[in-house]
Amino acid sequence: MAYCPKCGVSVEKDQIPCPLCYTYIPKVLSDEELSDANGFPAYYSLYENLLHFFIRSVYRVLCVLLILGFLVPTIVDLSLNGELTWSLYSSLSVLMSWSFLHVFFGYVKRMRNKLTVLIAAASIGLIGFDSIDGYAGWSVEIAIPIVVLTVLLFLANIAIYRVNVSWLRQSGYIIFSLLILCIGIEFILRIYLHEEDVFIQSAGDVILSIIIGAVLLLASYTVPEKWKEKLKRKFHI
Amino acid sequence: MKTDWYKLDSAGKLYASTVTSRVSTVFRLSVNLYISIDGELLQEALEETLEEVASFKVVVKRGVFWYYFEKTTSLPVVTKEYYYPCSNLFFRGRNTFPYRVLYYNKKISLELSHMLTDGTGGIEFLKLLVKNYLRKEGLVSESVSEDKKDYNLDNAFFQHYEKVVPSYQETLDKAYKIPIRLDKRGVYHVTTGNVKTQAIKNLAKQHQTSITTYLLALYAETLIEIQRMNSDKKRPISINVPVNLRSFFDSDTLQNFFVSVPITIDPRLGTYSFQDIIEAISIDLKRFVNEKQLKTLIARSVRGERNMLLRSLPLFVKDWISPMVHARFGENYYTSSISNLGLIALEQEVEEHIERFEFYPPPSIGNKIKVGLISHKANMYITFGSLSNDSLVERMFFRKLVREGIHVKIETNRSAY
Repeated sequence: MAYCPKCGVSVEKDQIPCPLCYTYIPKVLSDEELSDANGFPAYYSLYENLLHFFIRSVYRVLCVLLILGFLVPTIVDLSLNGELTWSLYSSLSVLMSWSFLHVFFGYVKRMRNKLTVLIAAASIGLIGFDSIDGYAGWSVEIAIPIVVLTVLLFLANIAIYRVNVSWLRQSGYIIFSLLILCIGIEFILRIYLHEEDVFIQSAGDVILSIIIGAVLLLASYTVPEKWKEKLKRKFHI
Repeated sequence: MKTDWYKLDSAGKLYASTVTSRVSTVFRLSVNLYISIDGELLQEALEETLEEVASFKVVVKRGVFWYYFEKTTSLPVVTKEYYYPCSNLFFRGRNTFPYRVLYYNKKISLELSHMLTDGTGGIEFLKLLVKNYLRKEGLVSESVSEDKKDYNLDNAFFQHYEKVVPSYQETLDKAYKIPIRLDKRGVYHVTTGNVKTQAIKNLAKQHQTSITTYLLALYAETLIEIQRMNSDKKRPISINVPVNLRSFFDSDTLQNFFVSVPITIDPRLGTYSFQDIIEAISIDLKRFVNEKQLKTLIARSVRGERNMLLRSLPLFVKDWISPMVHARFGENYYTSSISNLGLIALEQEVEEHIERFEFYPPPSIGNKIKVGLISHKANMYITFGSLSNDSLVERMFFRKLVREGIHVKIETNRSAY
């Protein structure tokens, strides 16, 4: 009879991991002993197929709706104007939505690929919207920098979250990320509008957030033991 | 007047609405023979059994306020095992049989919804089925199942409910929950430990207690250790022990007739030695498992079901709120459950062709792990049914048994197998 060396229980088959602790069990059984066991069939979950079927069906229905959303405006536009004008906007929106749906329904595997597809779709969409009515330049000068800045800050926060030491520190970083985003947007807009003073105008408004963020970060990094003890002494309940 | 429909019993009514994708309320009783099962013969045997136990020839229907069973002329079809054990019976509407019969190699499995019957009722049906099957195979004589019992679908709760008896009042604390992650929907892992009954009996004797108390204590000790390893905050360990009321009150019903007895060990009160646990459990069992105390539990079941507010809610509302109420007020007070079906015995002639019986407890999201015990011939089969792929509890429990010098043989449907 085959035994798990760690658990001490006997098992039906050998040359497999122990069912309780996954320690490998060496070959000891004869073929005759193996064939004697009743065993279990390869089980399937009742819900596995059902759930996939449901998700696939919803995706297909949405795809059909998107195709209609592409065809109907295009045909109406062509029949009214004789050329593609405003329908280009709706067609581009449909294309962007389809890319997003494709990702959200899980047809793109791995986080990195998902992010790439989403950013690519957003960027192409923005440049497209900009160039339909003659190129104005706002997509490259405003939209894409803002998208890039947002993604970078988002990734940085994810990285901090992965090694999350304390929620105080995480909150501090989130506040500073939002500040950087606000300042970045203001900076980008002022550059685009060719204003003289591209540096932050609303320093007075953000000072409070800076203080809160700084306090949170300081508190998370360095609160001396002496202070902690003092606080405990004063505020213990 | 001959009726062609039945009401569900007091416990079954409450079970019926709690069915969700994770909580199937389906348990399995299976029997292993020494020969491979022939599907066609099994179908014939099932049809014959249903002639004897006509009360099982029913489908579940929806009423306005409750589910009910309606007699049917159609017959259930036996199938090969394909889905995980104890899979949901009603996931496409409820116009189906409240049980299914499956086979695989040498094993016949009967999966029953708790709304129809409990373990004891199920075993009666399975015994008849296996006798009929063996007769079809020509292995036993025609006269083997002569002693026909009067099977009925009476609500035994009503018969033994007394108006003057107060309901069971004690409230429990929120119990400790085993910290294991759920596996995918519809997946159910079973791990059966095969041990010699005599060996366990000897061990129990050493501690001057019964087999059930000993195993309960061993399980409680395992759960206490898991809590000590995993969480700083302590909570009581409550084990739900269903008690078959047929042994206390006279009844031949095939419907549910059991109550759940809570066995609680509170680690917040201090450290328990194994002997302390055994003593605490023995006291709890003595306190609850007697005719007088069980009457209060029956009264609670009946009054729960006869509650005017609950009765007046339409079925779709019950279906909607019951799973939540069951999880919040039913299962939340328990850490796990141990259900012992006891020793199964058949006529000597039939017994020769049967290798073993097995019992898989129903899956439940509130108690991710449940234990089912059943004894047959000289062996005892301890089955852990788990919704998680983590075998922490099983590993600790069976290792404890091995340390006590018991020989344990493990069989499981886990992915490594």
